[in-house]
Amino acid sequence: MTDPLGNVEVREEDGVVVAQVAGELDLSNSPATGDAIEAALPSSARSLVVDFSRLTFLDSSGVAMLFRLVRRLGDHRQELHVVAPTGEAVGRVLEIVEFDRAAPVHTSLDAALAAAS
Amino acid sequence: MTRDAEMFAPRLRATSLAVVLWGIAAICLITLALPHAKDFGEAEVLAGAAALAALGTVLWRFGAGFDRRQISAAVTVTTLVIALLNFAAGTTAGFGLLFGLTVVYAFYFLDLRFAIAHVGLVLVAYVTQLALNPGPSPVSRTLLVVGTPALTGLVVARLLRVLQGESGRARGVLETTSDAYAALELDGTVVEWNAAAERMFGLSRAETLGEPFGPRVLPGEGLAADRERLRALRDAEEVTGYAFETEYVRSDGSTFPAAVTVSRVEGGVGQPILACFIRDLSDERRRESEQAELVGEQAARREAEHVAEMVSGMQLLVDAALSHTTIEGMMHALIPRVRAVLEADAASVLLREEGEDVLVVRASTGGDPENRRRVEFGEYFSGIVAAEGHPKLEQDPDLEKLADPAMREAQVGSMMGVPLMVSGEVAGVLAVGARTRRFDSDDLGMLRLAADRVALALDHARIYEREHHIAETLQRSLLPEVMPNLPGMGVSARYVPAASEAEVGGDWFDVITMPGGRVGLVMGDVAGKGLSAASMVGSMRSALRAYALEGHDPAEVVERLNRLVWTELEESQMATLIYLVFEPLEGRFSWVNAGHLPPLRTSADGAGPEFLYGARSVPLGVMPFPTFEEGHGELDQGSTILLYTDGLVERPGTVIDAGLDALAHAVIGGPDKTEDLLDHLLEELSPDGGASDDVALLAFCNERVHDHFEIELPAQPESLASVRGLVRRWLRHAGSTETEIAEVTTACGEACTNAIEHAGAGGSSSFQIEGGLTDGPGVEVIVRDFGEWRPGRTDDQGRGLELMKALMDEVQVTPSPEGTVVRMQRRLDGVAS
Repeated sequence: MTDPLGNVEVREEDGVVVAQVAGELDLSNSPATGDAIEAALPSSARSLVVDFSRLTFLDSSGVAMLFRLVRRLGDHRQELHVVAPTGEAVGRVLEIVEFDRAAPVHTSLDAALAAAS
Repeated sequence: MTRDAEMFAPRLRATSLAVVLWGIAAICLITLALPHAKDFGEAEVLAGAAALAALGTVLWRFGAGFDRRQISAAVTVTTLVIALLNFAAGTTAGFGLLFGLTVVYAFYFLDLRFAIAHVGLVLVAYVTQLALNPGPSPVSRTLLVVGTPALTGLVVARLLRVLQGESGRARGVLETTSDAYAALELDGTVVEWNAAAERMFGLSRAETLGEPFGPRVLPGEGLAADRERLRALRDAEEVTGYAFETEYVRSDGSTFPAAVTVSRVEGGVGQPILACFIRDLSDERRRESEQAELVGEQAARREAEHVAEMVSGMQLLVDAALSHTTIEGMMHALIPRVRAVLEADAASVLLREEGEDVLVVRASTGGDPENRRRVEFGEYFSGIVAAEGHPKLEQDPDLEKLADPAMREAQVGSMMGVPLMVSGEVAGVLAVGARTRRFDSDDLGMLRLAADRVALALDHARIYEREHHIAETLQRSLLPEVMPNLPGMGVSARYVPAASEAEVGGDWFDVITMPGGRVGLVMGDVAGKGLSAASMVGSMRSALRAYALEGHDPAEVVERLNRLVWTELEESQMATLIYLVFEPLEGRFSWVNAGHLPPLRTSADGAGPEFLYGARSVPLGVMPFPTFEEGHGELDQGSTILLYTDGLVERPGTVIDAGLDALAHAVIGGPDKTEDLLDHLLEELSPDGGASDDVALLAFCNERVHDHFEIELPAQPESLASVRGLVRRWLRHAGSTETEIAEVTTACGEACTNAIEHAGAGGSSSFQIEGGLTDGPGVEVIVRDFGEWRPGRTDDQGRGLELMKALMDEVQVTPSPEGTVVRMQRRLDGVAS
């Protein structure tokens, strides 16, 4: 019996698509989470914000999921923004892998929305 | 008097009257055509004849539907028209004849008083006319004045004699008979109905006279036969009567059997009638059946005495068989008894494989009963019995060909077999053999009797097993199949269906692993049983999981669940529930108890177990918006919390406190490990013969954390959450800071992710993780897999190693053909040295 570790909720805020991922992301659910976000993203959207504010655990599989999203969005000339508070475990992982070289990482959702719209 | 005349007069034959009227009209016309007196009123007579002819035509055409009053009116009109004709014609010639006819018809059709009054009226008119019209000669006048009344008197006298003689005397006899008598006209109209008939049919004379007989008293089929008989009696000269038995309907709708004789009676006045004598056969039939019963009883008693001994033995046998709820148990109890009762040396029960023409030996005196030998239909004696589907008795059988091992071993000289018939199908065969004894047809009858009862028991047992299986399957499908792997926490559960019930109970439990390593424990009981309770459990289970994983607090989760139960659960039903969320890192829990029995918490420091009475709220489904109080507590390392349903502690005739005390006592002496603890509790607390109610049990232990740990986990992504839970607890135990916990946990996760991916490549199914404290102070974690190391083959794996190196002080990867070992170390600043 496996319970989902996290859940993803996709909504539109100020004309920007926001995917909020809560819980934990690891090898068991990262690929499915990435697929769910992609499926929920309209091709007309200019940009996507992946909000990790409520994510408590991220590992390399979650990072891989983000890199895949960056590539897919690039194919459609769409932008990816990530929200991850600094100082927390998730932000630390993104720092280590220097994810901000692939896509902007913001410390709050407001900042991400301002940059995305 | 009236009653007498009614014999002839109930329903008047309008058509005959019409013919008479036409006849009179014709006579008028003939009179006009012949030479007659000058003062003869030709126009009036012509008009009268026309009137009579018209009246006759009306009667012919519509008279069939006339009732008695209408016919009487027609007769009166006819008489008046004739009287007027006399006045108009001013002559008496030929009218004597007409009078005669009128009088006859008046008697024939009407009742006697009416007829006499009628004739009197006509006579007065006639005499008056004679006096006013002194046309005819004195001789003819005298003849008419004297002769007509004389003729009339003769007719009346003759009729009265006919009526009294034929009807009155007969009636006297008929009224005294206990048989019903009914006289019918040829078309079936009732003209006579005696008192016995009134009693028998519950229909009075007034209700029946003038009405058709058949439709009132005969049900559908009898009516058709009745019509056929009527037609024959009316049309066929040679048919003069019938004697038959039929079933009649009384006025109250009840039926009774009756013997009937019908005969066509010619003569008398008017048309032949049908005389029916009806005898009620109810009493006769009852006597007959009582007689038959008596005879049958006597025969049965003789038969019973004859086989009494055997039957009592057989009864014991069958009762023994029926008391077993499983087929296997029943079959094994059966065999020795069959042998004993029939004095047989060998006996076998073979049951048919479902959907195949194959029997399997399920129990046997000889050979190895565990060896479920297969016998094809048509093969050996039992196979032949099954194929033929009839009992079979065989003397001096060809053992090589016919006898199965049990029979051959016993060297039987006489054998018999009976098919076990369930729902018209051969479900098995019961076969016995005797070495020296010769079975006879009585023995075969006994075996048949036994087989019938065994087949019945078999049918019951099969239905029971199937239902019980369905119920259990359904119940279990609603419960967690396996407990989640929670390293560092012991979690076990039991579900024991009630021993006697085929139905599903409403007990349920669940264990939910949540993000961050938290664990949700659920124990619930939906009132009621069966599918509705089961489906409610299904709804609650999936709803609770959804709410829990959305991250709500226990009180919020239970509140939402209450809303679902309030709307979905049937009125007057309710559900109790405990929902408890354990936070392993802190060793604390939050919980809500909605009307359920209190959990029991054991203590690790030697103090006795205690029931947790806090956090109580009403059960679910009782109120739409109750407040659910959330309680908080601690579960120290080494302590266990026990959740259960009432089936564990409730016993008929004892207060529940006694059950709770018993539970607490059982826990005190019980083992620590949750699996062992539950087995111990079930053994201690289950009443003899199984629980009368379902029992669900869930034990959850916050196991002690040690400085060193080592565990092997399945090489599946799902193991990663377990690793994180384990490592976090261990790091907390080691005194790490929150950041240290997060970082070391992430590094360990990366190492394990690699191990899992290697396993995918190398075909190994597990990996190991080991942790220990180092001087420094610090921690060391070693992850071993048994697959093939593929360094940096993909960006993802590269990033995994990058993360490990960034988060730990030292990372050592040692690949080998047997697998890979990752050794990581980190100094802990949060730990006081």
